[in-house]
Amino acid sequence: METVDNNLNPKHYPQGRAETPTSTLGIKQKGSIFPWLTKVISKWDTFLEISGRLLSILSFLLVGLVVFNVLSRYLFNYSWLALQELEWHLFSILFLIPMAWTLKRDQHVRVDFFYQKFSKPRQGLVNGLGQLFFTLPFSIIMIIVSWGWVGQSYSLSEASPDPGGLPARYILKAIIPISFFLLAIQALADLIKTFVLSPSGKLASTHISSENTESCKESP
Amino acid sequence: MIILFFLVVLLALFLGFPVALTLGGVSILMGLCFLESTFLELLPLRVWGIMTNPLLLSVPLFVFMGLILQKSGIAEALLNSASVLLGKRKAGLALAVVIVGGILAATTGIVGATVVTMGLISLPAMLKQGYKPQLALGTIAASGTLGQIIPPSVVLVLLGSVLNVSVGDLFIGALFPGLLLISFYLLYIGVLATFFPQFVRVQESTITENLSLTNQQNPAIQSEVEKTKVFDNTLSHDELHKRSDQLPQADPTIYNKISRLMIALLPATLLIVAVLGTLFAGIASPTEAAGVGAAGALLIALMQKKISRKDFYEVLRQTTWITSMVFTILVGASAFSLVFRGLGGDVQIIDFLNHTQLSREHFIWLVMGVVFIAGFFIDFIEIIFIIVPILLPLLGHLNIDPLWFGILIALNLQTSFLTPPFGFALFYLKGVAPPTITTSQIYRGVLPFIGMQFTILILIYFFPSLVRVNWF
Repeated sequence: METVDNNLNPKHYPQGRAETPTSTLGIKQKGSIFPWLTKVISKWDTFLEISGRLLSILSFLLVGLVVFNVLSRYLFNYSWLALQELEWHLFSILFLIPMAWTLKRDQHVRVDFFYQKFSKPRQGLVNGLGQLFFTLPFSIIMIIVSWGWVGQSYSLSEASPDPGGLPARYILKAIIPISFFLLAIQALADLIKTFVLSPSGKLASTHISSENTESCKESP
Repeated sequence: MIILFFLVVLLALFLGFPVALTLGGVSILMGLCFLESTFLELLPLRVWGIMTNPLLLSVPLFVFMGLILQKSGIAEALLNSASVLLGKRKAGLALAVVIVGGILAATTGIVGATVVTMGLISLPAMLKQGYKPQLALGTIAASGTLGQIIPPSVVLVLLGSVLNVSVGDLFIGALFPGLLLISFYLLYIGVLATFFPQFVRVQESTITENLSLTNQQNPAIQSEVEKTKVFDNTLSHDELHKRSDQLPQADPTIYNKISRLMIALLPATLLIVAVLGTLFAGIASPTEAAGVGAAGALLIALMQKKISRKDFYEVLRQTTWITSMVFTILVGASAFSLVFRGLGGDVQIIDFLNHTQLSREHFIWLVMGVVFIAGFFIDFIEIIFIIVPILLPLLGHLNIDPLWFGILIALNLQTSFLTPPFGFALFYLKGVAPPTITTSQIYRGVLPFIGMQFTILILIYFFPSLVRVNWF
């Protein structure tokens, strides 16, 4: 843990390094060894953030869609099967694709009984090991096993079995590998942040940034 | 093997890495090592099952509704007007807290938010009126957890999906135990106020002490307010306390008070009727009722101009995170249960049961004990998704009604959140209480309420007909 102090001490940095004070990562970049890597990661963060915010509009659309279907059924006694299928299509997209964004914002529930008492570097270590041994294998296996399954659906050009349902069901099925791909990339980005850009693990939990404190974790 | 798997999962969970990914990761690694590779190819089908489950679709809608109500300050308005109406009566404030807690439970169902809101608004007012801190704290913590059991609660939706019970039935089944709980609380406070008036009477020494302390800046509260965003951004901690200080002497006439309460009650009542009414009348499915409730909440918030654009975006974001968080756990848990089954875990549990000749009664009490203790450490979502599916095959085996069992689990979880030293509600309350409030005061305060919880749990255990779907 002495490296923490080294990081704080500017004497340890070679001269002539580009010094940008902060980035969207919230990481002090003057310590980074690979400026391009930092850049790539900060691009990725921005991408996740923007796409996540756009996707969150789906929750409102979902409310509107459900209400529309209810009204059309009870007031006009008419229901569109395609629109009803769209309900759970939207729902699927709403929970699967933002998995990576939710991970980045540290909104996945932890059993933080011991975790909250850990020091920052130790929390960073837990996160790093978790991404390496849990998130990455989980995502990769999910991509592999769902890939063939989606391909099968595509080769059959599978659609809704009901008349009037939505076509191209393989697109919805493809959401699974896509989401886990995004999750794997986020895990990788987090690993790089933890072990490459801040080898001490000191800044490992920077993705739990201050903007996060505003959020309320759903609790029972 | 299965015990090793279970232990590794438990150990990994306690490290503190996100639950969903830990479950998924450990299960996949175990599956790769000990199962045939074709077995894991069942995983996409499990995820597909989650995607196509029409019941689970109601969760983001209920979450959306709860968050809108939280941001628009409906809880605050309710508490304020209820306290104005009942504030000057003996134990009036405590009764108001229980009633408002019940109403909030029926609209939002988010325990953390309810405890924090009531802790911030009612606790200073109650202490100022000279309530014994224990009583005030116990009332707030217990009323805040009502959201677990009073429908529509996310706990019941998830339990219904795991137990294969209709969510509508679970809601109706939970209604009577929930009301019973509220009446027990009210009765307890009433009896206490009648026979031991010192619990609610103004005591000069404590009142001045508490007054000075509730008014000083408390950074813990400040951060809690920001963290949970129960209130508008503009509403500072000081303003909150000012408001609660003004409560008792607000309006002079009783009619004025009642009309104010009515106005504050109206939106919540309309929503409860819209959501639960259509659901219980069998007009709407849980998903439809949730959708209508969410839209209704938004409409009310917009009409009262109580929600800013910024708050609205925040609601959207949090709905997305919570939805993603809940269902990623479900994805991870289905990987877990797949591998658990693949390793022969379900067979081993039934074997164990046959071997030990565990009776139906012993089984139920064993499960209740495990769930109760698990509730200290892990969230209800994990308990429902990890523990309950393992038990599911045994329910049929032992001839246990899943609806009744589900209500027992929900009640048990609620009690567990209230029980020292680990109950979640207690942490939330401690976070917003003035610094003079000690943890042991909170513990002593909730004890009678825990007693009532257990009484009801035991009542329902011995009289299963208290949980029924057809009341007429």
